[in-house]
Amino acid sequence: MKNKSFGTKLLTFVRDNTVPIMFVLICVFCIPLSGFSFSYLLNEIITRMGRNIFLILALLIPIMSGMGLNFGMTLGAMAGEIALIFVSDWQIWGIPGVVLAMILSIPISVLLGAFCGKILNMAKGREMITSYIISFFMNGIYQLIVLYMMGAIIPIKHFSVKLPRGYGIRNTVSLLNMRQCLDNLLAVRVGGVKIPVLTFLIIGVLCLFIVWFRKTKLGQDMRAVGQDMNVARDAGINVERTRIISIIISTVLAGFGMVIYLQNMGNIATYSSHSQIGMFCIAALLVGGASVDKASIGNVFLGVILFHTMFIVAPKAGAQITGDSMIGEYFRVFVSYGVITLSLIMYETKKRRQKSQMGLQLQQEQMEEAAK
Amino acid sequence: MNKTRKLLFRVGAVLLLVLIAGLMFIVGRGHTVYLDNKTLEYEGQTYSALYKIEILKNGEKVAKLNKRERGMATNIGQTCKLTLVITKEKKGAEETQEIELKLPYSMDGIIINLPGYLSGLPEDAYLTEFVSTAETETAPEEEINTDEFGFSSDMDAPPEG
Repeated sequence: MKNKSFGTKLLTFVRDNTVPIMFVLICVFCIPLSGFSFSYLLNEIITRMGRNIFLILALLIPIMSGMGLNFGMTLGAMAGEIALIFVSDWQIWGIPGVVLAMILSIPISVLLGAFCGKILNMAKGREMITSYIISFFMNGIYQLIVLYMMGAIIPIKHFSVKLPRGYGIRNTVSLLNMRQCLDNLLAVRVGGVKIPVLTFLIIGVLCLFIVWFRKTKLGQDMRAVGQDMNVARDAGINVERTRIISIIISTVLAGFGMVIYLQNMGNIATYSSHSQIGMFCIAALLVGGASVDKASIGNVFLGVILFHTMFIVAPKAGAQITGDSMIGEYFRVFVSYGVITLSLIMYETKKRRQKSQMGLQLQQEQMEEAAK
Repeated sequence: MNKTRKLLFRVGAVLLLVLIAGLMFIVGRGHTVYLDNKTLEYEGQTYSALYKIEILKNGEKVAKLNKRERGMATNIGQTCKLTLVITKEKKGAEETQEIELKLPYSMDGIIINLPGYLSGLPEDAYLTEFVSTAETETAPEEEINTDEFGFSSDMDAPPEG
């Protein structure tokens, strides 16, 4: 009896954590094949953690309010990029440049978040696909602004930012003068591994904010809305407003996250940096064991470690196995899309199973009542 | 009362952000300082280049200039503190001097003529704006991969004109 219960528990654990377990297995298989040293891997993973965690944490609040995975975080990323373009044009360097870019991104993120939230309120139950399409739509607007309006209508002067034709922004804007300024300040080296203490402190503050926020009135409202909108509405919560606020917070945090991400990279790919960031952040979160309706800070950290370990080792491991590193490249793209699909299927299956179990339970109860 | 307090907090937060942004705008202005060790002619007088100048910024060596050479340092803010290790003549003694340059906010690149500065000439004699020739170039940009994931985007970048 005891064994059976352990077996059931194990089965439930495996079923609930299929994606992280799958990734642990992939990493365990690929790491020895890649031939990377432990310190190199650790260095890379820590760098990528500092670069990506803030962005992924931005996804937690919409999940809490039942809006699923916010593909609309791309809008925040665009806001961060626009702010960085201005900061580069004004030649504000180093930490002041990063701080100024974050502040500048706030009003843009708030506007875009409010817009996205309003539309998502019109598409309740279809938030993920709607936010995904909104990000494509806004990408068009972003390109119109950056390619045609900047320099012509919006004043952009610096030759390193503006295209030689007199308007539009270059494909790549250099952030060399603020490159890794956050990561290098207070950085500590332990056995050849650089630990960006300040970046991790900022991430820590955001984690504390999320923990605190969940306990506030607004946080509780969001959780109530996430569990059942109708019940929340009956309880006097302004559901629409709460949902809009959650998307605005997520977009603002995504804007900050993008600034942190790009200062680490040292340049902006003006027309493409933001386009896939949503997908990779969501994939990383899902790899950490999160689902469409449940995610925690722990999922974020585990996801970044597993997902980026796979990203680092896959090309080399692919080259070792097949003799062609491109296989590894394709593998990691395939895995990114695959993990999102798998998680969505699993979420849907779980929901249906729960529904059918509830139905069976109800039927049994009715039969028992009839028998009485 | 509650509403007024809320409004005051909001206005205060916005003002604080604007204030921080303004401060960052001023203190974060970056400049590239070009340091010349070249002979300068000013009001009929000649200020000769020195034999050797070593330039240190925050204890780090940024340039070592012989006669007719140019070095470069980057600076954030409008004050640039440098340490110069000067050798006036061949086999002469080294002399260390701390200097503090005031940089104009509006200039990105600034050329400082060190012999002129060290002779105590006015600012317009030793300081000139550096105008990059790249501003007038129209060569197409190089394609650089800036994606950490190493592959192109679904939403392709538009061509540049």
